[in-house]
Amino acid sequence: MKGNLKERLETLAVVVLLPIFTAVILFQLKQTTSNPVKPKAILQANRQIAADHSSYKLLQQDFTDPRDVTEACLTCHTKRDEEIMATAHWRWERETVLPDGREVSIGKKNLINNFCTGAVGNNGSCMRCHIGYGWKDKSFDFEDPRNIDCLVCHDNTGTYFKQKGEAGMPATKETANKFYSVPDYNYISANVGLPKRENCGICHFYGGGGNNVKHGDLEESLLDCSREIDVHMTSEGIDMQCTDCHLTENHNIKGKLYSVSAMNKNRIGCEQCHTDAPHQNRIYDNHIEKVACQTCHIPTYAKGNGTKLWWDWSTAGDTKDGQPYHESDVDGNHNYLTIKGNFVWDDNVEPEYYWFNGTADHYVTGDKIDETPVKINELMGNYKDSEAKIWPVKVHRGKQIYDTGTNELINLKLWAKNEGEGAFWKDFDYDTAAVLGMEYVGREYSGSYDFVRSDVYWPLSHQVAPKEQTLSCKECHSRDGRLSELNDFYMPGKTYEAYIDWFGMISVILSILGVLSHAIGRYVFSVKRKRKENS
Amino acid sequence: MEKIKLYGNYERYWHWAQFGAISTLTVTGFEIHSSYELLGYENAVNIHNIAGWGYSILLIFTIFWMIVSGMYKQFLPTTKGIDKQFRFYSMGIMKKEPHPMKKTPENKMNPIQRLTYFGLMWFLLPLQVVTGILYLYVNIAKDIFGVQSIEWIALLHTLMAFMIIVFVIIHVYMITTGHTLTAYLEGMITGKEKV
Repeated sequence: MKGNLKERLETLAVVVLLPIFTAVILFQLKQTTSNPVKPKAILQANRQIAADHSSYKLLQQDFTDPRDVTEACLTCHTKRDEEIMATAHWRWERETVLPDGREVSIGKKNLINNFCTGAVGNNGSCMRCHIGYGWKDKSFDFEDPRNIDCLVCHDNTGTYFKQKGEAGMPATKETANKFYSVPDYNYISANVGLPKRENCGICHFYGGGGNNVKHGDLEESLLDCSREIDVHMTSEGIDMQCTDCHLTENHNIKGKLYSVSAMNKNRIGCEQCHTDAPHQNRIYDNHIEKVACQTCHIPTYAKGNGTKLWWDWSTAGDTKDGQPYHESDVDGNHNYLTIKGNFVWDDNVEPEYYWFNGTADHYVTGDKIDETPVKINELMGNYKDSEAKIWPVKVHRGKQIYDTGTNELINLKLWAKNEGEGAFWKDFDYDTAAVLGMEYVGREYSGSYDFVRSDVYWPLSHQVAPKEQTLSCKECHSRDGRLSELNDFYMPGKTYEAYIDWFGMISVILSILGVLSHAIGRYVFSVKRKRKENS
Repeated sequence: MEKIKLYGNYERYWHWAQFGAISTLTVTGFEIHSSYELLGYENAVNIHNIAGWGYSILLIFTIFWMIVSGMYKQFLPTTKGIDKQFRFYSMGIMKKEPHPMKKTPENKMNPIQRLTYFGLMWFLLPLQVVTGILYLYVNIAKDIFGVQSIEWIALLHTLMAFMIIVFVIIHVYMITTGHTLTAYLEGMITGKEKV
């Protein structure tokens, strides 16, 4: 009977075990092959405008002031001015609750950064990127809808430009020169449409005084780029426009830039098109809980052109024979400018990686410096934060002016039209520039300054690489991989406890030595025994 | 000495399947631990997970089989005769003294084997399977058990892996302690052994 039971069990083992084995292994195998979800994208930017604007009499008048164009737009597009005036594109600030609970209104209007240090007080130059006409000083009327510049975003002819140094105004008959001519408003207004890459790019590519100075992942090569640079925007493929991801309703554009934002609101997610389990591979998809898509899919940034990684203002102001000068690096990027100091540029940069939960702290103008480097912004989050994911980040490091008396960062007057007005870029005198800059914003300046290290953190989202160039496991899952600086959690292949590895290795070695000596003992005894038998 | 059937078909199948699984898991596991590079990280992970699943099923089934067939009784530890067995391994074996215990199909294990296999079958291997599954499904484990980090799971899993290697080293060596060097190996292949 016993033998019978054993045989039956053996049969059972084969009959039950084998199918389970096969099924589980097939199931597991299936999960290791990935068959990505096909994204369902509706490309809104490619929608054609139904109305033929060239047939409107209203737009065929003889425009001399661009404000009259705006007024003409608003005749039909009623209430759009109210939408615009509620946006940060117009106000350059936003009511914000910082992670520490402080309620502030921050934005480009009042923040100090570590590139050109700040727009306020340098309106003539900086407010060229404001979507309004003539924000040249504090007298600008934010309530006047005629001040809205519709064309800078909606021109589809590529012929409309705001003039340099004119606080957001295009060239007029008086200011036109060989670089800027008066726009042909009839032609432009007949050809308006949804914003294209060129419209967004004119400000978002060139911010900070040149192409790709700031973002690193957003620059002019995206206008016509290869798949290697950006799989979404490539002209070799799907050729997406900015607003295909930055979905827009009532002029409220989705998406957050954390050099000026702080709250986890109105953000774009890749899952908009790709779902939250895009790989159809369990292990890959599990990563999404703690790893941003960008981390693996943006292995390097600044792929088309270099980006600025270091800006040292402390060396600015040096002249040769009283004249400003510049020096360039091997790639042709400036590494010294009298007006701006020393730079380091680089292209194809590996990002740095930080936990980020969608909220950021900020150095708000007037804050005391309590740590160096000063954190212009700080991405919040850590491993235990359920909202936080590991993000690739461009960190721009620099050295900028601060008040040694009050221990605060300084607002500088950098720009003026002419020499002798006290602007640093014309007269190269930091003290005067600080006095005037601080006076403009109504802050106190003690009269003594020095330079302090400061860092700003820009999470990356653009220049997504083709899937073949996605990070391999080993880039992070290794002892000195890309995430070697993130040490608040256990990661396979990266983290190990030396005492366990040592204990384990010593145990293995001891057991080998143990069996070896036992074997030698047996051998020695058997040799002795044989000798005895022979003798 | 007579040759008798000592290991049934399932026991042998179990043994060699376990051998395959543990070898695979060890080689891929220590690659995942970044001890070396061999198959490529992603391959190592996938193979490790599949082998781990296969091994888990085998172990669960074997435990079931042992309980139902009463085979588990052979794995219950005893201290009776353990001193003799210890003396044999440390001294007697050198002098070619006979084994202090005669194997029968109902009692194949000497007291030291019983102790070792009891620890292996009921603690080391199941613990490895449990930590392995928690490790693999940490996202789910987080929701059910409130596991905050895989850290202690992973460290335990690594430590146990070292211990299994230690077992295997000694185990392989002990195969040579039959009445000839290969007698035990033949026993586990054919099922028949001279006792």
